Amino acid sequence: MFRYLEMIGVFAKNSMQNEAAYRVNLLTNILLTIVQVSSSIAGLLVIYTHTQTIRGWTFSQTLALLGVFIFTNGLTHTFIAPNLNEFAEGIRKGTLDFTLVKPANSQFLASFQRVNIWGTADVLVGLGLVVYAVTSGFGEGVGLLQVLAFLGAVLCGTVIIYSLWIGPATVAFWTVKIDNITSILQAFYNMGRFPVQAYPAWLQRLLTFVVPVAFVTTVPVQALSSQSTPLLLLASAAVAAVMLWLSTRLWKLGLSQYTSASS
Amino acid sequence: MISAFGVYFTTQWASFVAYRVVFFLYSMWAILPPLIYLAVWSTVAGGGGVGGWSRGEFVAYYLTFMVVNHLAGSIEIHTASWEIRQGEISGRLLLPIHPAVRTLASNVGFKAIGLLVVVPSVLLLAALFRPEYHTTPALVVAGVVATLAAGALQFLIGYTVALLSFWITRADAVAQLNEVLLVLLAGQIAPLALLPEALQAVAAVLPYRYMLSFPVEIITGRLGSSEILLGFGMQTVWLVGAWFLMRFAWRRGVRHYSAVGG
Repeated sequence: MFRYLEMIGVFAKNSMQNEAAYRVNLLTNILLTIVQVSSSIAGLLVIYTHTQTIRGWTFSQTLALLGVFIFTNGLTHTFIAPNLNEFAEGIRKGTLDFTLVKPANSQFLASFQRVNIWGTADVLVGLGLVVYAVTSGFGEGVGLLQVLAFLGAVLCGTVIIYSLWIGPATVAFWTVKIDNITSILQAFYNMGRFPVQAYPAWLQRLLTFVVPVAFVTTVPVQALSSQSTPLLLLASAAVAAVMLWLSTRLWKLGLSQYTSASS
Repeated sequence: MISAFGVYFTTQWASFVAYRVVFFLYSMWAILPPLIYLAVWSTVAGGGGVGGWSRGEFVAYYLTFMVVNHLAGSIEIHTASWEIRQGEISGRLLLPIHPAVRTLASNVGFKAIGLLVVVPSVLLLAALFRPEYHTTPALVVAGVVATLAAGALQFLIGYTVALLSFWITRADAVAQLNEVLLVLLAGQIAPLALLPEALQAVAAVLPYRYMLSFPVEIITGRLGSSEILLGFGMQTVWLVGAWFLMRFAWRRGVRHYSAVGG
């Protein structure tokens, strides 16, 4: 376990050294994060000037939810997303061989060996937004229990989002091209910027059972504002476990299909 | 010029048909982001409406928005910018026809094939959300004209941003910045009439409204005839401005260009 955390550290350091050559990118990306986040907050403010709550969700609760969304979105774009296209390329060209011969779990390497350090700006801003929303909005109701439930739910959400990205990507073993699948996935994931209760019933079911974005952003904030039940948190953990298991099964199945592409 | 466009259009269309699934999926990007706000606003307005808008009027607004979003959208940051960065434009510069003609054919071809997904999706969403339209044939005609002009404006601005690839490696960041402003100031987050007045004033002057939400406001019957005329005036001013900006960027860019790769 610690060996793998250490490896992520090495990957991050590597990519930082690579990126140091493109310093203008740092400024550009920070500027982009600031503009995108302010525009999202402006959007929320506009909606809440016309209503007190969205199906019981106050402004600061939705703001905290936006923070969780930006945080998890930042994590995917830091760790997983930069690897996926390379992974599909690796299948097409046969360079996935280099990953497979390394003495570590191949699924781990294929999902984490490249790190986009600029994504961490989103991770930090997302966290900051959650802290701000809680302290300025519904802080009095938040105790140690709520924070622990929140952290547990965020962990489950992160596992779910990881499986959501890596599962469809594994389809590349059969179809080779995946950027269109991940692009559609991102479009659905963007629905996580609002609580699922804001959507009509059929869309809520879609976002709970088919693309379980509900567990990634809605459930953690419910846990934080004492609106969740232990059952809901258990369900979240169960979904995370099942999806992670499915993603590894799919990975192994795909890997058994892989015949490399070199001559 | 017109026959060259025809030839490009036919070849682009053929390649889009060959990779149709990809382009069907990409055209979902015109629908899914506004769907978020359609759903949220129709929930918020569920009871007695909000700011003078009923639930069905929000639905009508956003369904129209999706169609205009697809028809007027710019894809030049993916097509033209890529050609410049890969050096592919070198060969096209030698042809006796402006490379933008091919880019435009690719734009129109993508929109034509994308309609096969956008129209059924919007009809399905209409059945699910039940829109409430207050419009007249004359308004629809004016809206179609405004949509064409919005498409032309998005193309010119999108192409100009793509041309920045002659100088910088991250033209996509400028495009993303543009996209954020488009989402906020062209009526996706909320119809512009519901923004705070200061933002409305800014949105009325900047080009973004005329690139997307102006036709939607016309078709959904939100504008009086003087407002429509003023809007067309602003759209024309921005079209002329964007045309000269694009010409300027093109001349300077080609002079600055030294091909990358072989």
